[in-house]
Amino acid sequence: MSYLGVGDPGLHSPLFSRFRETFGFVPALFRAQAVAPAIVEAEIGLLEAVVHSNTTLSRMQKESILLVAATSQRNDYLVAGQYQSMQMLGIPEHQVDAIIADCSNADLKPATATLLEFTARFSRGIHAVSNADVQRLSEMGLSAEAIQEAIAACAIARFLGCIAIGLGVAPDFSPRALPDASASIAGPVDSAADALFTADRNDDNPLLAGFRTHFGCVPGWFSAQHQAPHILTAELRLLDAIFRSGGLNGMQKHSILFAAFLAGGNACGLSLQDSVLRSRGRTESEIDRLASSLTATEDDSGFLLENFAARLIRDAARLGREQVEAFEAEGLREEQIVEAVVTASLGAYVNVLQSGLNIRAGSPLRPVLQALLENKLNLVGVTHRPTLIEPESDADSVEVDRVQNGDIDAFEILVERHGRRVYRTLIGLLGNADEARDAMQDTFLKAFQHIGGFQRRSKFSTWLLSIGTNTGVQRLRERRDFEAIDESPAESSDFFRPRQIRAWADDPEKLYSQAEMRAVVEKGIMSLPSSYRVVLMLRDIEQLPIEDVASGLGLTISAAKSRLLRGRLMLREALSPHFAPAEGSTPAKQVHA
Amino acid sequence: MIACADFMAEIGDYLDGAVAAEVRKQLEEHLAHCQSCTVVVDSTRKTLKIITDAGSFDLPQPMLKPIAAEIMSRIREPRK
Repeated sequence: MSYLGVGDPGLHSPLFSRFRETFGFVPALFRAQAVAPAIVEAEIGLLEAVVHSNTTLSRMQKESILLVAATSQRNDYLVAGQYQSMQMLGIPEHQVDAIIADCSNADLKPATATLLEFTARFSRGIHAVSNADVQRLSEMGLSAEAIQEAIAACAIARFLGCIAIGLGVAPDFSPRALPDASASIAGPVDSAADALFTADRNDDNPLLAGFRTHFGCVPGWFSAQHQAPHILTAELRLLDAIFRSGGLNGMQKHSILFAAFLAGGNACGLSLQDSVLRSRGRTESEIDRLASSLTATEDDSGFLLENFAARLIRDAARLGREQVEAFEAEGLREEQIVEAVVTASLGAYVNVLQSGLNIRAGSPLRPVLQALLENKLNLVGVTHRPTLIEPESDADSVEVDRVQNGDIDAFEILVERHGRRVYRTLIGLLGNADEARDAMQDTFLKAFQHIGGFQRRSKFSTWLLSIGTNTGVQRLRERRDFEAIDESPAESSDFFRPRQIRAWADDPEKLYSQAEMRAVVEKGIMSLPSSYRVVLMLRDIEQLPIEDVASGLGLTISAAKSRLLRGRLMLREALSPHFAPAEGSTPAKQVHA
Repeated sequence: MIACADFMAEIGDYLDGAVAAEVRKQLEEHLAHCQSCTVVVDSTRKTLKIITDAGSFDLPQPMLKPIAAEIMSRIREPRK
C-alpha cells in the first residue's frame, strides 16, 4: 500500500521476478514505483553495489548500518524491511533486536560496534563527520575506504527512507518497536573533519565524464568516490534513469535537487545547482525567489515540487498523504509524482555523501543563498516566518539577548513566563499530565540548545510553541498514536450531523463554579479524537493563527480547518448535556439534510 | 433556500466571520427559519467562549516552580 493507487502493473515484469526469486516477494517500496521501472532497476543496482557486495566492509556490517541508520531516522518501513533481511542472512532475532535497542551493547565485535555507533550519530544529526569520529574508527582498524562505504550505506538508507515516506509506503512486515528517541538529544557537535577523500581531477576518467552531462562538471561527492568504481557506476546509472524518465522535465528535476540541497544545508550542492539552473536559463532573481520561498512557511508560491522536496528533507516525519493529494489536485501523473519523490530522495542521498565526505564547494555561494542557507541551518525543524520581527515587538527580546550572550539565568525567566502555555499545549496533545510535564522539560531543553541560532523571524513565544508542538507530536508518533495525527478518523465528505440541539442556557458559565467548569471542559476536550483535539487546542486555546496550526502539524490549511470545525462541533456535543436545560422549551429533533 | 447540510458545510467559516457577504446573507436567511441550526451556531459560539475562559489545563504556579528548577538544573548540569 502507498499513497499512489499503484496496483501491480509491472508485477509480472522480469525486474520484479528477480525480486521474487531473491526475496520471495516484491517489496512495497519498489512496487509503489512500478510506473518507473528503469528507475527501480537503477535503485536496485545501487543497493547491490553499496550493500549487497562484500568489499572492505562485510555484507553483514553494511546491512547492520542500514538497520541502525533506519532506526535513527525512525523509519518504520525501512526498519521492518532490514529486520527481515538480516534474519534472512541468518542473524538471530535477539541480536537484531539488540542492535535496534542499543548498538553499543549488542555483543558485536568492537570494530562493528564502533562503526554502528558512528552510524547512529551520523544518521541522527545533520553535522559532518568529525575528526574525533575518524580517530575512533581508525583506532578500530577501519580504513578510509571502510568509512567511505559506511557513509554510502548511510546515504542509501536515507535515500530509501525518503522514498518510503514520500510515497507513503506501508511496511512489508510488522513494524518493530523503536527505542525511545528522547536519549537522542544531540551532544555538542565536533568541528568537521579534515577532508578525508580527495577528488579525482582526472579529466580522462570516462566514468566521471558521465556526471558532467548532468551537472556541467563532476560534483565533488562523486569524484571523491573514484576508488569505488562499482558504486560510481551504479550512482551514474541512477542519475541517468532519473533524468531520462520522461514525466518531469530536466529543469523541474534540477529545481527539486536545488530545494533538497538547500533544505539539507548542503552549501556545495546548492552552489552547484545554482549554476546548473542558471546555465539552463533561470535568472538569479528567479532562483533567489525560489530559495526564499523554500525557507518560508508559506508554500503557496507555486513551487509545489520544490517545497515538497524541502519538506521531505527537512521534516520527513510530518509529511502526510496531503502532499500527494496536492500533486494529484495539480494534475500530476503517477509517473511524475514518483519522479519527484525519487529526485528529492536522491538529493537526500547526496546530502549524506556531502556531509560524510566533507566536500568543499567549488565556487563560493552567492551571498543571498548563503544567507538563506544559514537561516535554514539555524532553524532546523522550527517554523520560520519570512519577515523579521522587530526586537521591540517581542516582549522576550531582552531575555533572549541575555541568553544568547551566555546568561543562563535569563533562560529561567523565559521558562517561568512561558511554562504554563507550553504545558497547556502539550497536555492537549498528549492527554496526560505526567507526560506533558516530561515533554515540557524536553521542549525547554531543546529551546535552550537552539536559542543561539534563534533569528527572530518569529516571536520567541511562537518559536518556543512550535518546538513544543514538535516535541508533543513526536511523542505521539512514538507511542504509535500518530495515525490520529496524520489521518483523521472520519474526514469524509459527509457533513457532521449535530445530535444535541436543545438550546443552551443564556449564560452557561453561571451554572457551575469555576472549578466545575474547568473539569467539564477538560473532560470534554479529552473526549475528542487526538487529531481534532490538537487542532482545537492550538487554535482555540492557544489562539494560534490557523496557518501556523496547519504548518506546525504538517497539515494543509483546509485539512486543519476541517478538523478544527469537527473538533468544535464534537466538543459542543459533549458539553451540551451540561449546558442545555434538561426540559427545554425547544424539543430535541434531528437536523434535516 | 439552502438546506441544513449546506449550512453545516459553511458553519466553520461563518463562525470565524470568514464568508463572503453573499454567502453570509444566504446563511442568515437559513438561520432565520431554522431553529436547529440557530441552536448549533449559538451553542458552538458559547463553547468557544467557555473553553477560552475556563482556564483549562492550566498548570498552577506552585507546580511550575519545581519543573522550572528541574529544567534549569538539567541545563546547568547536562550530565545529571
